[in-house]
Amino acid sequence: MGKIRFPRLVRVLDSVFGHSFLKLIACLFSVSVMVSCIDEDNYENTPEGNLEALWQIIDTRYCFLDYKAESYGLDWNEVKGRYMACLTPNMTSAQLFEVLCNMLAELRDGHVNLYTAADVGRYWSWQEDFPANFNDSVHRLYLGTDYKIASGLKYKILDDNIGYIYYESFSDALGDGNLDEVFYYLRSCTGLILDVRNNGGGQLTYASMLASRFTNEKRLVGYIAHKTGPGHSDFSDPEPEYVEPSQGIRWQKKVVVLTNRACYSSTNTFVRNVKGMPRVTVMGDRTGGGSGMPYTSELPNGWLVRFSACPMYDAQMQQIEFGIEPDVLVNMDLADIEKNKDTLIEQARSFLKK
Amino acid sequence: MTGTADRVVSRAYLLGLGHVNLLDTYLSPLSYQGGQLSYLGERSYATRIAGGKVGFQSLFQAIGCYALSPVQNGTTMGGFLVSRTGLHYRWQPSAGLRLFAGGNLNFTGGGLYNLRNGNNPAQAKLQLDVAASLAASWSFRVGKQLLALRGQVDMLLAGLMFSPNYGQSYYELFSLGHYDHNVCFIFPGNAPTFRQMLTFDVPMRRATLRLGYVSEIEQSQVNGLKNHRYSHSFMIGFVRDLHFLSRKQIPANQIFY
Repeated sequence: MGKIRFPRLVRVLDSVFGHSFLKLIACLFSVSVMVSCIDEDNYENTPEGNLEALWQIIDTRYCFLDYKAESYGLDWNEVKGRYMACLTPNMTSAQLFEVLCNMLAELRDGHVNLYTAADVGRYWSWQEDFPANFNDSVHRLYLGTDYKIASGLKYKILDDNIGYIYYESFSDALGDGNLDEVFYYLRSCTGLILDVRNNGGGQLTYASMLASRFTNEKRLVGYIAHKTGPGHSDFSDPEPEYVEPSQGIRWQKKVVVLTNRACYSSTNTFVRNVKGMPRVTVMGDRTGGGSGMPYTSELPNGWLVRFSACPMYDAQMQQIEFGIEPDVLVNMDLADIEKNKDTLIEQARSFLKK
Repeated sequence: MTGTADRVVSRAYLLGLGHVNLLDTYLSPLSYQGGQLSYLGERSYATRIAGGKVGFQSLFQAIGCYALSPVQNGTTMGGFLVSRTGLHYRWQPSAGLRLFAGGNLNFTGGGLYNLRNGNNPAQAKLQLDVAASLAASWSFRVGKQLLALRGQVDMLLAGLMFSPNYGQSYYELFSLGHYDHNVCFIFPGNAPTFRQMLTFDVPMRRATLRLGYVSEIEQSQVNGLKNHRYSHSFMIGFVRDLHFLSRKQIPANQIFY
C-alpha cells in the first residue's frame, strides 16, 4: 500500500492520481456522462409554448381525433393554426385560458377539461343543450323521507309495489354486500326502476358490478382499446368486455333503467352494459356519452388537462362517445311537473305493470 | 481470504440524501425535481473461486423520493427497492491499487405516484436486468491512518421491465386482464442505465466511517413511453468487517454454550 505523509500529500496525490487511480475513476464516470439522455421536448412557459404543449398532448394521446374528423370534420392541424393566431405576447392568464378552452371545445368532449386554480374549462353542451328530463323537487317527492340508503344507492318500494333505486354517482362506493341487501329488500316487488339520471359517472368497476345483477349468463357488452403510439390511428386490437352473472342475488323480473343526457362516462358504460339484456328496458333520453377513459397531463405553466385516452365501443364495435339511444324515448312533460309528477318514473311504472 | 471458515465479510450501512430528477411520460410530459432519501446496505466477501480473486457483492437500496413540477404545483412521490447481486474478479497491478471487473443481477421494484392525476395516477416499476460492473479501489496511508477510496460503475446490458403500453390503462391491465407488450426487453439502446458509486473509507475505533456519493442514471424508452430517474446522493455510514472463525481457532471458554 502506498505510504503518504501530510507535507507531501498534494504532490504525491498528484503523481498517483496522474497515472492511475483517479484517471481510472474519471474514465469510468465519464462514460455515464456521455450517455444520451432520454428526455421529453420542453416547451417554454409562454402563451405559444403552452398552446403548443396542449396541442401536442391532444395530438398524440387523445383517442377520438380520427372519429371526430369523420363525424363532424374536425381538422386538428387546422385548429392549431387558428388558435395560435389568437395569441399575443402580453396576453393575461385569463385570456390564454379562454383561448385554450376554446381550442379544446373543438373536440366536443365532456371528458376534456382544463384546470387552473381559478377555473375549470369545460365542454358541457352534451347536456346543457338538451332538456334536463329531471326535476329535483319532484324527484324528492318520490323519494320522500323514508327511503333507505345502501352506500350510494337510495331505494324504496313505491306504493304500487314497484321497487325504486336511485344511483346518483358511480363515484359512490358500491359493494356486493350492498347490492345483496337492496335486492333482498326489493324481492317482493313486481318490477324495478333503476334511475341513473344525472349520474355523471365514476368507477367503471361499479358499472360492471351493478350490471352483473341483471344477467344470468356471461354477455359480450362491448370492446375497449388503447393507443399504442402517437399517431391518430395507433390503436391496439379492441379487446372484448364481458359482464358475468353475479354470484349474489340477481334480479329476475322486469327492470327499467331511466336515463337522461346527464348520464355520462361510467354511466354511459353502464347503460351500454345493460342495454339488450332480456329483462332490461332503457327508458328516457339519449345518454350524454363520454366513452373515452380520461387521462391527465399538464402544461408548462402547471395547468392540468384531462382528455379521453382509451376508447370504448358497444358490442357491435360502434362508437358510443356521443351517447346511447334509449329503447323507449320519454321526455319530461311540463304539465306533469306542474302536477308534481315525474313523467319518466310514471311511464316506467306503467310499463312495468303491463 | 480463501475459506469460508475464516473469511472476512464486510458490511456497510449508509444513509443518503440527494437530488432527483424524475420523468415518466405516462404521468406527465414534464420533468419533476426534488429530493431523495436512501438507504444503502452492502455485503461483500472474497469467495473461494480462483484462489480468492473473485469477490461477492450484494447491495440493497431503499429509496424514497419527493419531487415537484417545474412550477411547483404538482407533486410526484416515488419509492423503490433495489437488489443488486454480483461477482467481481480482482487484479492488483500495484501496491494499494485494485481493479475489479464483473457483473451483477439487479432487481428493481417500486413506482411513482402523481398526486394530481386521475385515471393515470401511478406508474409501477418492475425490472430485472444484468449489468456489467467495473470498479477500482485504492488504499493508502495518511500518517497512521489506512484510508481507502473506491469507485464502481455498473452499466445495464440487458433485462426485462414492466411497462403499460403507450396509452394503456391500469384498469385494462388489472381489472380486465388485457395485456399488450407489457414485458419489454431492455438493453443499452432503449435503456441506457448507469449506477455509480464512489466511497471513501476512514477507519475509526470500532468501525470504519464511510463517506460516499451514489449516482443513478436510470432511463428507458419502451412502448413509446419515456422515463428517467437521475439521482445524485451523498451518503454517510459505517462499515463493519466481520471475521468468521472456525471453532478450532476460538478458545473454548469464549464460547458461551
